[in-house]
Amino acid sequence: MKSRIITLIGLFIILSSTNMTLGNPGGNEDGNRDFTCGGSCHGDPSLSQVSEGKIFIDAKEIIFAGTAVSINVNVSLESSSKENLLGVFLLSSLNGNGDQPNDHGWKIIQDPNGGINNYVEVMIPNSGNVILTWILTAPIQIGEQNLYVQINHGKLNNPDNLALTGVSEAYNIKILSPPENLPGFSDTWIAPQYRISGDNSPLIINTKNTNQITAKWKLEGDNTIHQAQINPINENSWEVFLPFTTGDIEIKYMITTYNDDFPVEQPWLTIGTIPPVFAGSLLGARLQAFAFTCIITGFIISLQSAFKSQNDKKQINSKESKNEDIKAKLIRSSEYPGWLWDTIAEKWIPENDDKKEIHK
Amino acid sequence: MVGAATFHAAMVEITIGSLTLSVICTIMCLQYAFKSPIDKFNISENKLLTMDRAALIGAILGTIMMPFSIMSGTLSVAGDPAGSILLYNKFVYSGLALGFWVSYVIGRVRLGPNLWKNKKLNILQVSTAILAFFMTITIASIGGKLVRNESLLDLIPFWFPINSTIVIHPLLSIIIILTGICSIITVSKFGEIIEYED
Repeated sequence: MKSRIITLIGLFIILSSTNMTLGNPGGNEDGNRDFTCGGSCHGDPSLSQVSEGKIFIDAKEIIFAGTAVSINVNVSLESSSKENLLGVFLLSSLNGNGDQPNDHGWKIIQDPNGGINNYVEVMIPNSGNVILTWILTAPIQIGEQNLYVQINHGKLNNPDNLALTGVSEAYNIKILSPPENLPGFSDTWIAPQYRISGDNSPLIINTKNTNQITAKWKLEGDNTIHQAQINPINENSWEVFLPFTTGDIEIKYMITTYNDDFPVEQPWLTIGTIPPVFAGSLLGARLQAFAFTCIITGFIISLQSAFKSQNDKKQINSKESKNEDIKAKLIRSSEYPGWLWDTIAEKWIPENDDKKEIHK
Repeated sequence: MVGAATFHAAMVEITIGSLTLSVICTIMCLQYAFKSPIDKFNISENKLLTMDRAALIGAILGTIMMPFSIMSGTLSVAGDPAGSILLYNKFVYSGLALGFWVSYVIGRVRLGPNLWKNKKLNILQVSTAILAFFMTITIASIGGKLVRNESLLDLIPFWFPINSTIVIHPLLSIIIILTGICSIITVSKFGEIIEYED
């Protein structure tokens, strides 16, 4: 009987604690995830609710195999949780496994946060409109491919902690056989995510079937487009000189690859700025702290001694001047040896008594 | 099992509490050398003597507890100063605070309660305590920034910089340590002889 009660209590505790594991209201970081992950917590009908968010995908419907393509995603939401966080998946299927674009021959060159993930988390602006862009290299396999976008988020006034989820319609893309020697990015090239603040070293761009490139750049949020300087390193490898950036400035740049006179404009890519890598070490920190302790202690103790010394000198000087004042009052006379004339009291005093006077 | 973070919280509370008491009493001790022009604000000699003793005891307790706070803090924090300016500054400011408090205690013990009657020494001692206290609360503020990403000092428009730091090469640190130790030994061993010869 006792063991049954313990078992029942155990089961009750386990069942009660399930409510604590709803979704991930604080986010789960960018990563490469299948629809399973998006579906498990957010997909259970008892724990989730269908999002009213509207999802639009915009991309070229016909592309060449192996070329770079930008997938623009527009999500508009009416409500979000107090965390204001939106998780967005770019998927190639909704099977529950093998759903990532990489599993279907796509290659992510850059995700909306600058990485190379199919799942990203972004903050929802006040407008509720989120615009995201993935830059992918199309599969080499010719045919038709579908892309999906799934969103996960929360909402205000959500006492049951329901996770909201939504999936877009399939966006069909036809992949054609590329023209021979079509210029483009190298299959192995990945766009760099960041540069260090103040770093003006060039970007290295690797291409294929390309004998010339041009590059344009603009600051994020600015429409003025500038031309970047290019320096060829070797065949299909190029240096692109972008101005250095500081703070959290992002630069958007677009490469046009040429095969002789045939140009292909690649999608706009983004590069962010990160602060310089901090060069401090644990040993350095400890030594520097101890060095400051020693030098401050040494300096202040020296000051204390200096002030004390000044004070002592002042006291000695004042005692000496007092004694001299007393001596000045007494005049020795050759007519009366052994006697001194006290000018203030106007009387003779024995010479030995002046020392007593001084010591008083 | 009690974690290092819990010990750190206890150590920090003792340290900050003692040092706060010490700095308040020290500021009161200004009256030894600078009497208030308003008579009713003047504190009696006996009370000032009590303030002096409280300041000294507070500073001694705080200074003793400070290394324990630093050690428990090092054990409790997740991360390495190698990757964080804030953590690095926590070490640097700890060193500065410890230096000021040690100087304060040494000064008071060496020179005795009469130091307060000398205007220059009085100002030096009070300035040392105030600077030490500012350093100490800067360390506490960095702790708040690390754990909660905010601190009460955010309300103050200016403060010691905590988001930027100066990294000194370890060799230079060693030279500074040796210089500091030499100056402490010189002053404490030979200072009185020099004073006597003067």
